[in-house]
Amino acid sequence: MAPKQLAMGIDLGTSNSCVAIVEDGVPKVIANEWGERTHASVVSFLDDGGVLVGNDAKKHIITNPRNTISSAKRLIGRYSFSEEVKKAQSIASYEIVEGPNNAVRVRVKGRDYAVPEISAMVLKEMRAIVEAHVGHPVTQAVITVPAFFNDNQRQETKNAGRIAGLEVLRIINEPTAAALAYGFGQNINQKVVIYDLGGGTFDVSILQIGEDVFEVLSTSGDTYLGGDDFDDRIAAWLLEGFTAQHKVDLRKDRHALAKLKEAAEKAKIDLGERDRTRIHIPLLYTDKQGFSHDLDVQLTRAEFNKMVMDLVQRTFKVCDEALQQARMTPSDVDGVILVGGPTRLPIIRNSVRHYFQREPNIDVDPDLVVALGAAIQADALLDASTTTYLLDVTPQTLRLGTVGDFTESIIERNTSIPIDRTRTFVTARDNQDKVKIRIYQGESRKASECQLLGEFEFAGLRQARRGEVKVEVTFEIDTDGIVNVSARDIETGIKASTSITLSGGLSDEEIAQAQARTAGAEVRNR
Amino acid sequence: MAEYTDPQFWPQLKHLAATIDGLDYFQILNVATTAPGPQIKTSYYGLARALHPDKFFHLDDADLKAAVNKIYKRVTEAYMVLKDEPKRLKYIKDISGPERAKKLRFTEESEAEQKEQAKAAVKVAKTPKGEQMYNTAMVDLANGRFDAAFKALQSATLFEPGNAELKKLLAEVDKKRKGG
Repeated sequence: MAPKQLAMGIDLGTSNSCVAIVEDGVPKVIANEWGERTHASVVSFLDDGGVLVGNDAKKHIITNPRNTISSAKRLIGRYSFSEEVKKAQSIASYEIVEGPNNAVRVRVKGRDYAVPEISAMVLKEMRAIVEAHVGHPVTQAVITVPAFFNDNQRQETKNAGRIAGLEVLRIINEPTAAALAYGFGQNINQKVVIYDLGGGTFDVSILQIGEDVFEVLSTSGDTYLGGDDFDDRIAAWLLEGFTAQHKVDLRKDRHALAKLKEAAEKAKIDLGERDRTRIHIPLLYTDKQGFSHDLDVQLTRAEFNKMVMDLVQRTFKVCDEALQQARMTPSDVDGVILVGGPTRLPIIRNSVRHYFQREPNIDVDPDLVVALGAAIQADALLDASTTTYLLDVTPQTLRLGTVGDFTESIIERNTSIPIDRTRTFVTARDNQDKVKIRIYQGESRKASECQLLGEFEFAGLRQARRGEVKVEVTFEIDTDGIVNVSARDIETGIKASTSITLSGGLSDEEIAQAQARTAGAEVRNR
Repeated sequence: MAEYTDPQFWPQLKHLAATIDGLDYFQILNVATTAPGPQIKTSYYGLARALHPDKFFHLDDADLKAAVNKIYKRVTEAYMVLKDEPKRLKYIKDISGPERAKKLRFTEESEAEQKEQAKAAVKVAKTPKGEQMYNTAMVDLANGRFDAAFKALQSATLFEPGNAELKKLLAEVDKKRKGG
């Protein structure tokens, strides 16, 4: 047993994950035994029943595309009918199917996995890296999520942690974690902007740091925008060029597409360091005569910049919104912190410099900063002498479904958390014994334009004439940004039994089953 | 320095959680009704340092943690209302009136009502001038000045001769004016 309780901070990313702990008062990222500090969030199911996770699994995207799962974070906490899931279904090399209650399942070798089960395998790998480093079991963790994640996505991330056998101390927002890592131990009073462009999501948070207090003034984001989209632009350009040259359509060839995507990502990273790059894929296509054709082209930084300009501009629309919500202008900002691998791109750095009229801060590695912040928070939670306080906000307005397609706001976006609000409902029929409500998150008054979080049913109301029973429903957003709903009869004070009658998420029972399943899965070290 | 995490303060915290429904936001943040924005923020930060649930996370007493969570949520709520000038002014009005006890929490209902009122005002009159006259009429009406309200509504119909809703309202006020 270690002298002091230890908890890890995990950055569970769309493309890459990273884990850190605080050792001797210093936050540090833990490398695996091969010295790697970031790990592909990829899980590959091998033919012999073993499972590979991380950078080695990523190599299998090309050789074993059907059984290798990447970018699971894009699917987590989403309903099978959502746009993102439909898009993923059309481009993913693995099979995405519909599960019970509109949930999403990943089908591998005839078996269906819930998305949190896949994420759990990545989390288990992070846990194993820490345990190998410290030499004893570690079961407590803080896991980060994009600030703009809604309640479902947070819940399911927490469930992934539970499936991995972790006690999830807290879910914190990635930009907030980054601010924590920057401000750690520094006695500053500043307003800072965190520009966080990850593999699959984009977040902006504006914080006021007052020594040990980190107050989020506003946050905004786009959970459909990330570095992957930059890769896709290059891949699409490569595909178009190759198609025109060889008169062949590779769009159905998943193997070729995976190779293009891999080459595109490499080219993007190259262009972060030099003005042009050669993209060479040997033997991309074999024609009917049996001749093999390579793809071999040059891409300049200027051409690349043109391809992605609209994506870059989208990030600044989000910045506009965050500033407006904080009632600030770019000139009120004291510092800009860049987070996420794609922020290494010169086009991003230059655009950020131009927008905020200041040099962005890159003191901490943008790939590691989130995990470091998570580790600081994990350590603070276990320590009685906590020295940092995170005052975060809820990213999207919590709404209640009313009549027709309409909703009304209960807790506005950018409200500090934790917080609760109550609403009173009156029975509409004689002897009505239950009340059903639907809750949503989003900025539209129309339910169909918001994300459905779930449907709650409060049962066991006392028998009375209509209008006599008043049910007080409390909507709480906790420090994890997770929504809890409870109800009680105002007159009797008796709590109504609450059940979630519609949700794409996992039940406690399903989590227990998944726990048992993944405990048995053999995770392979190459 | 004494900290609330010290067991000697636990009964006090539990008592505060049980009675916090009787406090207004100024009492919770311990600021005067005239306190300027920066002072409200300073007080909020101070309470965050003292009472943030993270500080109590490592303790085992579930009741204490629930109490702290309840208190802290109310601190957040108080801060969200008092830092917003229009909300702060409305809140002062609410808790200064006869319904103080019912209005200690800035409820969504009052927010919804506000929106409803704003919507109603916009809905009835369609032109800026018409709206102005309509609003004047509403104030007169609320104060029992039926003649003045009638005149204002009559002016409003001049700007919006096709507005059936205004005409209906005018007829109602006319009835009240003659009846009273």
